[in-house]
Amino acid sequence: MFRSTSQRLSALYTAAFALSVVVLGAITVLTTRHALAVQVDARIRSESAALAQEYATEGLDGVAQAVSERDRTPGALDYGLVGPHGEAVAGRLAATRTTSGWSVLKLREGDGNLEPIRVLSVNLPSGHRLLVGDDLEHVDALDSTVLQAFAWAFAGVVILGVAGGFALSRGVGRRLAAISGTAEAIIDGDLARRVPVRGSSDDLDRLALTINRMLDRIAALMESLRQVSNDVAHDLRTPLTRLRQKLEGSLAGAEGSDPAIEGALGDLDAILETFAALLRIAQIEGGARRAAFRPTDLAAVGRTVVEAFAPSAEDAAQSLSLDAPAPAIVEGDPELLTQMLVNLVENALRHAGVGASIRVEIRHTGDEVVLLVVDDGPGVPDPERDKLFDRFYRLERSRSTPGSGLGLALVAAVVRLHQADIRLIDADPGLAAQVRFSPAAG
Amino acid sequence: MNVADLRLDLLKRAVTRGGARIELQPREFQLLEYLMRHAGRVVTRTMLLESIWDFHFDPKTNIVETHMSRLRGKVDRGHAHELIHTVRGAGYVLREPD
Repeated sequence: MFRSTSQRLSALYTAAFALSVVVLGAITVLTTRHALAVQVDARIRSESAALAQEYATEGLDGVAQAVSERDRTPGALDYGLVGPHGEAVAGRLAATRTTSGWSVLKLREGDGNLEPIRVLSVNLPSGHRLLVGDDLEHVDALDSTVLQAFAWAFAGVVILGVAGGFALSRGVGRRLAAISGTAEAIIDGDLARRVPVRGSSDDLDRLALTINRMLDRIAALMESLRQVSNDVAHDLRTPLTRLRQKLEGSLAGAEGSDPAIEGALGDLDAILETFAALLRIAQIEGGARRAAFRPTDLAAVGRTVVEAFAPSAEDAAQSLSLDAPAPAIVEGDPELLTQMLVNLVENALRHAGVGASIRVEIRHTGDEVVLLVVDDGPGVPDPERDKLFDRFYRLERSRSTPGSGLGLALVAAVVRLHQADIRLIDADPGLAAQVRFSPAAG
Repeated sequence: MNVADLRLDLLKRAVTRGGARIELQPREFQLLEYLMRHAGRVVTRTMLLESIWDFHFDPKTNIVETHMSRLRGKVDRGHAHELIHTVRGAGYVLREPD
């Protein structure tokens, strides 16, 4: 029901406050009721005592007169004088069976309703009984006033609690969303993203700062790792190239061919190729090539590549075809786009097997340009597909074939540079590599 | 352009050898034109990749070899003297027979 912690907390606090309002209301009602009862009793007692005094000085008639007078006064207490046989002598209060002391009588009011009256009955020496009472109406009125006040307070607490909780969870929710948005962006490969900091140095801000420091550290580690592998590739290239030249020299000097030296040259070439690919990926990822971006017709790139590779495919009993009916202009580096397509095509030719047919498709779909390289080879199992873009990742069955495992990593680097999107799709049978260039990214 | 009995007409985009017409694909024509312009000099794989295909990198597939062997098939097959020669470890050269 509550998807956020702040919503849950504010609901909990609202419930607690509402409960305390109810408890406070109950206590207030009970204590005011008690205080009022004590006050009324005191008033009745003193009136009763005053009338008894009247009897002592003025006799029964004096009391009867005083009772009638006071009973008629509006807003005063209720009075009654009852004879020894229960007959009413004066006042409205009449009681037959009342004994002396406190009791509750019902009195018919002017509007015909029976109303409870709290009555003190005192026996006079003449055998008459003096009744003094007060209706409980104003106690009830007070009760309802207090209850009403607390009902409003209760409603106020609930409304404020819900509104406050909503505002709180929106504010906190927005900032948490910013943090998880940053995390998502980093998962998607945008390592430069950081959590926005408000500068209020509250707990969420401190969390954001800590996360940012952690991200800086990760970025520094990644950078030094990349730097080390590039340095290794770069520094080993020169001695290896010299070694290659020496081997070539000795091959040229010797009469006839030396299979051992030729084999060594082949191995050296593979190593140099791997290093070159690593350095090229590093160069692409450096982003400097973005300066060379210009409108490039991907369909023309497709024609060149397919035309270049068609004879090789034919020799391997494979077929390579192009389906690019219209120009497809993207903003990019033509050289890198060519290399990307060459790598994809070579990958398909190499892994689809003998007799496979490979189709390169370039189309405008909506405002996107979509490039597809589809083969009908054995395909790639789903869990391994995304790993193919990692450097040096190779499928188990491809380990024995030549290749550096860097071809698709380079493709991925080119795709990222162009802010395009690449996916490997099960073509059933075979594999389809789909690159989508969106117009905004160019 | 002429090299020995091989003749390449840039305007008509026609190639003949010993008077017999040779049908070439556009890319093969470009390749032969490049070789003839550099006749007697060794052209490397890299040079060919860059000038014919505008590939500024080295594909793993031997596309130069494939195209070259097709071109040779058309130009040299059935002739006593080969004009296109492979220079091992370096590239290709088109030159007049000694």
